[in-house]
Amino acid sequence: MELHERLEEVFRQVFDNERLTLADDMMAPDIEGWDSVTHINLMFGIEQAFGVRFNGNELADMKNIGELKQFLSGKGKR
Amino acid sequence: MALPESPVSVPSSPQRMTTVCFTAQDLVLFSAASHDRNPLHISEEYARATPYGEPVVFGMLGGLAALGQLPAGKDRVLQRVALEFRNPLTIGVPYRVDVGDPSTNHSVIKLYDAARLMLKATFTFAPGRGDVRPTEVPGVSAPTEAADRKRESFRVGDRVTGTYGPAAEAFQQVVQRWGLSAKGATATHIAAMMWASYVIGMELPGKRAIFWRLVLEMEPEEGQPEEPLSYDVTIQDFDERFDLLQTAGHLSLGSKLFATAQMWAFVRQDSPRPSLRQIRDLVPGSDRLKGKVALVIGGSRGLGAAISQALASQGCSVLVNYHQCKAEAEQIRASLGEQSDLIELVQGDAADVEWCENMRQNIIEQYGGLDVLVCNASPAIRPLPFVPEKLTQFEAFLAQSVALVSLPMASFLGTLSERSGWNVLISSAFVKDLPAEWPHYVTAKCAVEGLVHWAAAHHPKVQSLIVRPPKLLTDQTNTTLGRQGAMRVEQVAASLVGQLCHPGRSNTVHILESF
Repeated sequence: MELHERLEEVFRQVFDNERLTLADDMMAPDIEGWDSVTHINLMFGIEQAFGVRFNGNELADMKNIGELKQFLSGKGKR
Repeated sequence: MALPESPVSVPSSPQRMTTVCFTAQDLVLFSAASHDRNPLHISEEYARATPYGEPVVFGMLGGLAALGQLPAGKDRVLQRVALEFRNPLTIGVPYRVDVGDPSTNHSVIKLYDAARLMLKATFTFAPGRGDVRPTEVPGVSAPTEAADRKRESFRVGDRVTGTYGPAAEAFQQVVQRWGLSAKGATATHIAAMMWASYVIGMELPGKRAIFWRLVLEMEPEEGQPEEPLSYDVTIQDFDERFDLLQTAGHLSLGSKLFATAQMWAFVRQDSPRPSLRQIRDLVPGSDRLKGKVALVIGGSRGLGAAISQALASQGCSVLVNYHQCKAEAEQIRASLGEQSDLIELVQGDAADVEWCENMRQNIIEQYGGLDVLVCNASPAIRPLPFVPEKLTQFEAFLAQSVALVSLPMASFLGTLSERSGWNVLISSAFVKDLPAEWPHYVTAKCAVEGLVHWAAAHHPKVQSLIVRPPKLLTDQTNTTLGRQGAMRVEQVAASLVGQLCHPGRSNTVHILESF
């Protein structure tokens, strides 16, 4: 499974939405239900799925999905 | 004030529900059965000073309620429970239940508040064990006070051990209340779930716990338990980024392992309290407010407490209004030391017209008039989806918010006008940021800002100030993520008092949004 699909699966689990489709230019306000609680679930979900560790609340500083994918690619994740 | 400990009424038989709703008595009953006496769930006074503002339903009670939603199953036995506590459940809210395909051995049950997922429970069953009905597990006595462990105390490898058994009578009432018979769970399974709640809420981490996740794997059970469960829980990890404690537990019956548990819980930090020293560092002393009289509505906690301290530190007599938080109000007065006689605590509901009128008369008789009115009080703020079924709560929040400003303003604008005093409203930067979770809060703050503009137009001698602080570090934001980027209240209180000392006279409403 490609990085995009794996990431999409994490988002679907966290946001409880099987029809959620990610696009690189999507930002937090584009995804219904992205609040402080889902944010932390998402962060741990990504860490667990990809075996990475965010530095503090690094995820909050990423401007969109594309930047998150670049972060994961930079960690050698595919 | 503790929740009532009156006898619990238990419905004679559970209804097949499409919603579940928890009462205060449900929490008392679960607490009695499980020995989980964490005050976040059973003490209104304690819960008020947490980010939740009110008692939170035990997460495990939500898990048991979810189990009770499954149809009876005679050919299965519970093998694995996975619970995700996504959002805090509260008393009196009807939660919609979504039961995944119950015909499989892997049932997913979700509790929703409107579209917001609150709890996800996954129950996995092994086939072929027939109808398993709850009976009893021998009980044990348990501590009544939850351990208060701070984040600094958690070390990987640290352990807690003990024996556990629920209280028999309350246990049976919980089983009956939530329809847990014949679901494939034995008494020992249900006791193991209650144990997880107990060990998280009472021992590790204890009082400061916010239970986040549980995975409980059960071994096949042989016969009825004749002795309490024994347990051993070890710290696996403490994630300092988010104060998240991960523990692993083993539950045994005699020498035989019965269940293993992986548990995650956030550890709440101390409630933030304003620092008078920091306020004094930020606001140089002056005589401009000396001898003035201020009334701070909602002045015992958070920003209101810091404003009360800041005004008194300038020599202003401050009437600190509080509704329920007497202990916090007394702490604020005590913090002033030699200046504590400048603080008068006034208990009451500022949204009550009689209280406001009595207060107005008392202030005129005792002080001759009022120079500064600060309207800071707000109902407890919880996220609220903007959907038709939530509009009752939306309107109630709006009405309460407006009353907490309109009644004091209506009562005191006259006396403020006589002394060219200040009408100060604590609003929020959210009126411009418009966060998705707070439609009720944004609407309420815009409404009361409108009232201040009206007052400025029709009471021209009164000086008007609207304060729009950003997210502040208070009890309400004292969560793992809430603290991040939150401004300290002292900074806002200092800027506010600075504005009162150096007003720069004009007929327009002053807006303070830089701190």
